Amino acid sequence: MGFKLDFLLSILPRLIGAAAVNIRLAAIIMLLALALGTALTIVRAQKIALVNAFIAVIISFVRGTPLLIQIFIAYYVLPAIGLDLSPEVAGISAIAFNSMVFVSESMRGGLATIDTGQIEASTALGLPPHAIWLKVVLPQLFRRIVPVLINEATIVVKGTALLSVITVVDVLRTAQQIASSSYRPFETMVGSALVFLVINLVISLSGRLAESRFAAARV
Amino acid sequence: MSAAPVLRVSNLTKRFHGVTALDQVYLDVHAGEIVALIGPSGCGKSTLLRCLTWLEQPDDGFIEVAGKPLGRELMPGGVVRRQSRRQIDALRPQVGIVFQQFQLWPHMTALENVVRPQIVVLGRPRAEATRRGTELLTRLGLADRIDRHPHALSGGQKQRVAIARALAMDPALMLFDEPTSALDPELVGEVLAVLRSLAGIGMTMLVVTHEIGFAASLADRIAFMDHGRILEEGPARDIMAAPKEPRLKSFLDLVRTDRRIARTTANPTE
Repeated sequence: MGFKLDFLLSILPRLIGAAAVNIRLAAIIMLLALALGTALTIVRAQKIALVNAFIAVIISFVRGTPLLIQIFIAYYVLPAIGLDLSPEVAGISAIAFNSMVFVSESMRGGLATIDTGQIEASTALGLPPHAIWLKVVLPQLFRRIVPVLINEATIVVKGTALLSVITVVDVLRTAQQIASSSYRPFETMVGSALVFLVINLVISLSGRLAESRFAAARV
Repeated sequence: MSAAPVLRVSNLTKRFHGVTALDQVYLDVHAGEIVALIGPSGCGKSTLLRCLTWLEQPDDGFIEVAGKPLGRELMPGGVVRRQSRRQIDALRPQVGIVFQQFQLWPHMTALENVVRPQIVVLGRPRAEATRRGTELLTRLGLADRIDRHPHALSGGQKQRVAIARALAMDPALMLFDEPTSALDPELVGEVLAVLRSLAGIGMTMLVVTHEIGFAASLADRIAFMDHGRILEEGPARDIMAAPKEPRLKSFLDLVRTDRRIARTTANPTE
């Protein structure tokens, strides 16, 4: 059973259609991860020992266990404690939670590179803490971690494929459905890989564009 | 009322892990006065400035800015009350500080550096803040630099933006931490001119420096600090010509010798 290009081309429209699901989920996840990751970073920067110890436990759990297991926990275990989430919501929650940790970790790294003198100057001018975060720290921090965020975005896009195992009909699950009805796994898997590759290339390129812009402003 | 000092520091004491950085410091700075604070490094000059902006919390003593207590106040009945961050923040614009490394915000243009704190802290409308910022930057000779980011400015220009940023808050008092140390030696004259122009508009200033010549040519009064204490203070001329305190004498001798050495090394033919 050889590779048939025309079969690949014939299934591409269906796969691209399904890609809308992955893109939508990835966009929601990234927005959530950014918002939650920022909030988590600010909480950790308060240096409350007990809170940070608790966060450290969560971080080591997220970093030390496979994303697939985290997705399973959100979908199969959470209902046991009364949180019965739809496949999409469970998937978004699991990946966003995972990504939040990585966003926060890279923000924490970036935070160390911001001169504390700037924060002191802001304090001396009378800026309240929230204004220092919003006007001084975060704008610089986001610009600095653009490369990391782009990388994280591609990981999130790939992560959405895992949601096929909890019945989200995404690119991979669509491909599997086509494969099992046509008995042509080769073209369908190549097709779905191509779809992910194209999405991530677009993300990488736009990331590089943003980076060169910020580099031009040298901040 | 005119006798009330713009800055009154009384009995200010600060310890770091048992080491006394400020030891019962008393200092008054009156309106329109320029006071230079000199002393060997590690004597507590910078700690004093940091306490005056409440970046460092003194362990004891009081600070009054334009008649209002900063950070901590004595209530009737002898009770000392600590102010909230909000109360302190409300007073902070009264004390402008220009740091040694200027500490501009690198992601904003020179003008935005001056405009943003006026909007955020004083609640000025953007148009008014922009007008004030442009006016100050122009007065400091930066009219053609207002749209540049800090990385595209020279050290001296950055310092002037930092000065404009502090002045825009309409402070009662300006603090300068080693204004000449981060700049090339040939710019010292320029800094002197800028600070003198501020004196010309009646600005009250406290300048920390270890450049004796700079202090002597700028200040009305000089205060000499060592081991966290102000050991001697007086009119600049008297301090330079006839120091009483032995430690001040030896400090001045040492600095003057250093400068002679520096000069002869720079120009061996001299």
